[in-house]
Amino acid sequence: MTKAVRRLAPIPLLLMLAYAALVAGTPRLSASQVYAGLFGPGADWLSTLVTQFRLPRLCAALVVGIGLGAAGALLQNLTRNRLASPDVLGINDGALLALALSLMLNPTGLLGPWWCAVAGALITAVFTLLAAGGVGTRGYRVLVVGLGIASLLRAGFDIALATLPIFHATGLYAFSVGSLAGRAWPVVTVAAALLGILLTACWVISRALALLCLHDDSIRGLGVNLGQLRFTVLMLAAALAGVTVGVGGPIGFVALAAPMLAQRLSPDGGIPVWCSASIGAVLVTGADLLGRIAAAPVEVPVGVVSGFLGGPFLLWLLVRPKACGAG
Amino acid sequence: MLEFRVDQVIAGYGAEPVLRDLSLQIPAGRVTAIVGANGCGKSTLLRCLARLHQADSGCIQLGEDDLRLFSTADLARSVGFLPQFPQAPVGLRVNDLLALARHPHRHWMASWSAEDEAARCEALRLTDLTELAGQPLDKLSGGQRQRAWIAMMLTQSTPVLLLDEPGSMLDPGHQLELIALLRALADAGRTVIVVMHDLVAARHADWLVALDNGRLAACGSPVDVLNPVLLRQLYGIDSYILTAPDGTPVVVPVRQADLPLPQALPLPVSMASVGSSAEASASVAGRRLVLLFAVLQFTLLLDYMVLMPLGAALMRDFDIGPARFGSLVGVYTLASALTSLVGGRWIDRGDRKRTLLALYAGFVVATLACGFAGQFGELLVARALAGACAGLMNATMMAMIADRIEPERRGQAIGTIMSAFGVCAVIGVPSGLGLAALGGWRIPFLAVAALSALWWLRLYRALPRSPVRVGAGRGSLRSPALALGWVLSFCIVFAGFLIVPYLGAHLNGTLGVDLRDLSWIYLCAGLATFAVARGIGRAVDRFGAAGVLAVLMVASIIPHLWLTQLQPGPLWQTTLVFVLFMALTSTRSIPALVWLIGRVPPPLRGRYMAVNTASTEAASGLAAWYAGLMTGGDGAVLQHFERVGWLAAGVTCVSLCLLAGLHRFGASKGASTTTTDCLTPVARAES
Repeated sequence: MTKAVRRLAPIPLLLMLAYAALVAGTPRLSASQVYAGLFGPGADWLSTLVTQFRLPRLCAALVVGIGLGAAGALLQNLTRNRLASPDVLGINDGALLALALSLMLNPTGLLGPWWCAVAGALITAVFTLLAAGGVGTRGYRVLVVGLGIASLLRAGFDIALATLPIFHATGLYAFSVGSLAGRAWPVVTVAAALLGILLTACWVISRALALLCLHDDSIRGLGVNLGQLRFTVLMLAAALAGVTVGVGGPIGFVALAAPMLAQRLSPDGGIPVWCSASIGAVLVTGADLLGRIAAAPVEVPVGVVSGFLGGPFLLWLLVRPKACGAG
Repeated sequence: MLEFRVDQVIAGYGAEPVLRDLSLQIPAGRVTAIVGANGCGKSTLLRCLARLHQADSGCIQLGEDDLRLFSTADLARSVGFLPQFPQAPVGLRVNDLLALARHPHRHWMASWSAEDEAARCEALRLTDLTELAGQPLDKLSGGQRQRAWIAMMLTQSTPVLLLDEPGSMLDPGHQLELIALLRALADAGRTVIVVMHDLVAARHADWLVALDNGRLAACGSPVDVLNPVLLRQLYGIDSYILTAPDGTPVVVPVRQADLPLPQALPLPVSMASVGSSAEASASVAGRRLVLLFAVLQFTLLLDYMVLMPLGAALMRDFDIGPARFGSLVGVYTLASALTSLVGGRWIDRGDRKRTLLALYAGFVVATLACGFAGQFGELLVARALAGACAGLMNATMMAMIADRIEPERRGQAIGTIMSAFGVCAVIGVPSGLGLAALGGWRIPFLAVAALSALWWLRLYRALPRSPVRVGAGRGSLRSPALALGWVLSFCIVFAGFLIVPYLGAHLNGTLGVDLRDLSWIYLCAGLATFAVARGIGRAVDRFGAAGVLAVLMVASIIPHLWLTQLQPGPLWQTTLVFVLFMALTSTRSIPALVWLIGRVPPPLRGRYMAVNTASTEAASGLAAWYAGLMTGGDGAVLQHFERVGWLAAGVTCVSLCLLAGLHRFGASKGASTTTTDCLTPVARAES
C-alpha cells in the first residue's frame, strides 16, 4: 500500500505545476481567469491566451516529460546501467539529424515535419543495435557504441547546420537546445496520440520488463525470448525519445534523472516506468515554467534550464559515496 | 514423470567443443548430481538441458519429446533453472522475486490468481522463508538468500529443477538443509539435477553423472560409481572411500604423494612487522591530507591575492577611487577576523570535515558571486562572505592537521601547506592576471570558483571524517598561557605587516626599481618562499618549533633593518635583500603555528585557532594602518621608512622575550602539556 502511495507522490506535485504553468507569465492570471479562459465565458484574449498558448504548451511539456521519463526508465531497465539515456545512446542526435536532413531535402517549413525525428530516432536505435551486435550482457557494449555514434551524428548535424540557409539554421539551432516555445495544438495532439499508443505498448510488455533485472539465464528460463524483448524495449524507448525530440528538441538530463528519482521513491527492485514517466513530466513542466518566469521577459529554453539543473545532479550522483548507492 | 535422455551431444562456445559426443540418461523423480573437475563441461551440460545453450549436434529428449520442439512457454513451465550466481536489483523483496517466477503461468493481462498465490506460499513454506517474505533480498544472510532463490525456482512450479552449484556459498548446516529439501522435492516426484563440486554432498544423490573433459566418465548410483580410480581420473587426487553408518560412500581426498610440494618465499623484511606498515599507512594518509589542504589553501590565497592586481580594472568598471577599492581588501580581513571571533564558538562541534566543506561551499558561492557582481555593493558583500568563510576555514584546517598528524610531522605538514603561498605568487597570480587580460576581471574569479568547486568535490570524497573528540581534555581557553600565545602571534604578524604592504612603494618609489622588474622580484620571492617553507617545516620537526621560531626571528631582524634602510643600488642587491626578507618573514608562521597548536588540548583547537586567526588579521590591519601613519603615506615616496624597520625589529624582540617566557612557563608544567597532546593513538584509530 505504501509502495503505491510513494509511486503516486509525483502526481499532486504535477497538478500544482500544471496549475502554475497556466497561471504564471505575463500577464499573470487569477484562478477564475484561467477557469473563464478554459470554459468561458471570458474575454477573447483570455480564451486565446489560455487555450491557444498556455494550454498547448503545458500539454507539450507533459508529452515530452512523460516520453522522456518512460524512455529513460526503459533504457535503464534494458541496460541495467544508471547512465543509459536517449542522449547517451545517440537517439536524440539521430532524431535531430533527421530533422536537419529533411530540411535540406525539402526547405519549405521552418523546422520540417516533426515526425522525421521519430523516424530518425528509430533508425539510429536499429543502427546502434546492429553496430553493437546486440545489447550485450550488462548493456555496456550498446552504451559504448552509442556514445561513439552519438558524437558521429552530432558532427553530422553540425555539418548540416553549416550548410543550411541561415534562417533555417537559426531556427534549427534554437530548436537543438531544447525548447517548448510556440508549440501549437496540431503537433501536440498528434504527438499525444502517438505517445498514448507507445505507452499502451509499454503496458503490454510491462511484466516481462520487470524480469529484465534478473540474470540472463533466469530470464530465459522463465520463458522469455530475451533478444526479442530487448529489441522491443529499445525500439519503444527510441520511439518515445523521438516523439519528445520532435515536440521539444533534445532536452537533456530528464531521461537520466527521472528513472533514478523514481527508483529512490520506490527502492525495491527494477525501475518503475510509470513513476519515472510522471517524474519526467514534473521535471519538464517545472523546468519550462522556471525558464519562462526566471528571467522574464527573456525566455530561457527548457533544455538550458534542465541542463543547468541536471549537471549538478549528475555530479552529485557520480561523487555520492558508494555506501548509499543503489547498485 | 520427465526423464532426460542425452544422445551424442556435441556442444561448445568456440571451435573447441566443451561436450564431446556425450550420451547419458538422467532418471526422473531422483536427485542427480553432475560432478567433475573445473572446466569439464558440467555447467554447459546443465545449460543444454535447460535449452539455454544450443547443442551443435546430437539430441536431448525430455520425456517423450525432443527438447527443441517445446515452445518457450511450455519449456518454462516444465524446467526451472537456477544459475550459479543469480542476480537481483537492490531492494527487491522476497515476495516480489517469487512473483516474477510466475511469469510463464500468467497471461499478459492476467492478474495475480489464487493459484499463483498458492504456489508462492508453498515455496515459502518449503524453504522456511514465510517470515522473511517481506524482507529485501539484500538484507538476508547468504544462506537465506540462496533459499530465496530456490524458493523462486519452486514458485515456477516445474517438474524438472536444474541447479548450478547451489551449495557452494552455504555452510555445512545449510548445505544439509538444502540436500534434505532437494531430497523431499525428488520424493514428491520432481526431477532434480544439481551441478556439484563437493564430493561429500554428492554422496547424498541418487544418481551420479561424472564428466571428464567433456566426456562421460561414469554414470550410476554413488555406491557403484565412486571409487579411487574414478576420482584419480576426474581430479588427479588419491582418496580413501569409506562407508558411512547410513551406507553411503564417503570420499576422503588425499594429496597425491608424487606431486612436488609448492614452495612459498618468506615475506620481505620490511613487510614482516605489522607495526611499521601501520605507521607507513598513517604517514601516507597524513601526506594525502596535507596535499589536500595545500591545494585548498592555494585556492583561498589565490582568491585573496588576485584581487589586488585587478584594482585598476575594478576601479574603472565600477567607477570608484582607490579608497573604496581598499575597502574591498579591508572588508575581507574584517569579516575574516569577526567570524573567527564569533564563529569559533561553534567550530569545535560535530564533524570537522562537514564544517570545512560547508565553509568551503560558502567560499565557492562567494567567489562566484564576485565574478557575477553587477554593482560595487554586491562585490563588497561577496568579498565579505569570502573572507568570513576563509578565516574560519584556516582555523578548521589547522585544527584538523593537529588532530590527525603526529606532533613530529606537523612542521613538515604546515610547511607544505604554507608553501601554497609561494606557488600562488609564482603561478597562480600571474596566470590569473593572464586570464583577466583575455576576458576581463571577472574571469579570474570564475576560474577560482571553478577550481574551488572541483576541489570541493575532491575533498568531499577524499577527506577523512574527523569528529571532534569531546571528553577529558575539555578545558577553558582563559588560561593566561594560552592567551599569551595569541599575543605572540599578534606580535609576529604585526612586525611583518608593518613593512610588507609598503614594499611595492618602497622598491618602486625610494629605490627606483622599474615596475617590470618588480614583478620579477616578487616572482623570485615567491619561489624562495616555496623552497624555504618546506625546509623550515623539516627543521621544525627535527629541532623543535620553539627553537626554529627563535632562530627565524633573530635572523629576520637583519633583513628588516637592512631592507628599510636600503639605498638605491644594483638590482641584484635589492633583489637579494628583498628575497631574504620575504623568505624569512613569511615562513615565521610555520614554527609559530606548530608551536601554538601543540599547546592546545584537542577539543579546543578549532576555537583557539579561530581566535588566533582573528588576532593575526587584526595585527595585519593595525600594522598596515600604523605604518601608514608613520610614513606619511602619500603613496609616491615613503618618509622615514627606516623608523618602521626599527619598530618592526623592536616588536620582534618583544615577541622573542614572550616566546622565551612562554616556553619556560610551558616547560615548568611540561608534564600536563604532553598529556593533553595524546592525539597519536587517535589519529591512528581514526585513519
